[in-house]
Amino acid sequence: MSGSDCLDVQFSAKCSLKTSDSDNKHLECVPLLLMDVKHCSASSPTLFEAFDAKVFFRTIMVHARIVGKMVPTKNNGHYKFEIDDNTSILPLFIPKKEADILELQRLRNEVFIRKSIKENTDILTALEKLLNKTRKQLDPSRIAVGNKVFVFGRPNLFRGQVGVFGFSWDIDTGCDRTMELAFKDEIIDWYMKIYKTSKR
Amino acid sequence: MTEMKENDLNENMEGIDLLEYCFYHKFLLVEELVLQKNFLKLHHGRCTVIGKLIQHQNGYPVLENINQSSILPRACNLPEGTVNLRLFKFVTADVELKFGQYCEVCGEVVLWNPNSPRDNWLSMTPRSAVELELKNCDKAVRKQKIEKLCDTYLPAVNIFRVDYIDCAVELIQRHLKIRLLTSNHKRSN
Repeated sequence: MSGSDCLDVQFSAKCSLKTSDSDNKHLECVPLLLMDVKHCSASSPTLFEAFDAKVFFRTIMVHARIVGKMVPTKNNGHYKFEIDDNTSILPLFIPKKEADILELQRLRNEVFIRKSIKENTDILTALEKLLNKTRKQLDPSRIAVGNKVFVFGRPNLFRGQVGVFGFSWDIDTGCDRTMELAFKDEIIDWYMKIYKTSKR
Repeated sequence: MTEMKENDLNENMEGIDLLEYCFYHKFLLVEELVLQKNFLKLHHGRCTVIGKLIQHQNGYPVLENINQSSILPRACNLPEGTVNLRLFKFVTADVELKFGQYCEVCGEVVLWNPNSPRDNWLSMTPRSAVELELKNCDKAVRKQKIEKLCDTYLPAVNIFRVDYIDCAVELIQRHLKIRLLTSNHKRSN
């Protein structure tokens, strides 16, 4: 039980930006259900509003399942996925980050060469591990159909169609589902608060 | 030719409102699907259900309901394993089935006929079942026929994805809370 409490605290801390009370402030990292992302509108390219213009925000957090995946063409810089969180289905765009991945590859090669000199091997091994981890986080090609993902991003309105543009993401694995439970609790709290204030 | 067929079909379906196809995986309880006897009100489309995966005595996998005494009032609560929902395996998806575990199943609601011969267990969407049964039948008997559909057909789920989970009841509780929140708000709009 203490584990999930801890996660709750983490989520609240992460989403604390949204709870600051001043009314006209644009919130960050707002947890939203896709059905509400679908109905949000943009007051400027980076500022959005939801719940009939009651809430203003810049960035959102969603948790959803991948139900479709389109591999990008050479000219297209984005992966396109279909995500579904049991309330709606929306497209999700994640940039390929090819340049970053190439840069990372270059750094990895450098580390590899320095390792052969056999000096500071501890640090270099640690660095290599870090780089491998970063590469794993960067490359969206490992997101597969059926995975559940957390996405931090913003709504993407293009020609009247709403989607989600992901800045960063993580795959939610394991069968204990503590992260999903924590996120859902956060959503429930946040929505109760909104609906309470909107009734007044 | 095709136009004429379409007209026929429309005429046959006249006065019968099927629910719109649901493109997202709406969260439902096993009980909601199994105990719905009016197939015109049965959820039409994709769904997510949480239950216990069991092998039926006839060899096919079923999803049993879970005892939710901790989250639901006693009157709405069934003992574990009272009702079950047959699962059909999608041919394209290679799904591994582990019996006796709690799982979250994503899929599509279908109907099947348990009385048909064993090698002819085919699943079809509620819409196709209704259309098949109502083909070339009088308007007068149509209503009775729909009511009798639940004698021949049973709801089932075509699996798209199975995830094994530990805390099934907690997850159901969160899903239901979110459904309550969102549907309440829709009504007030």
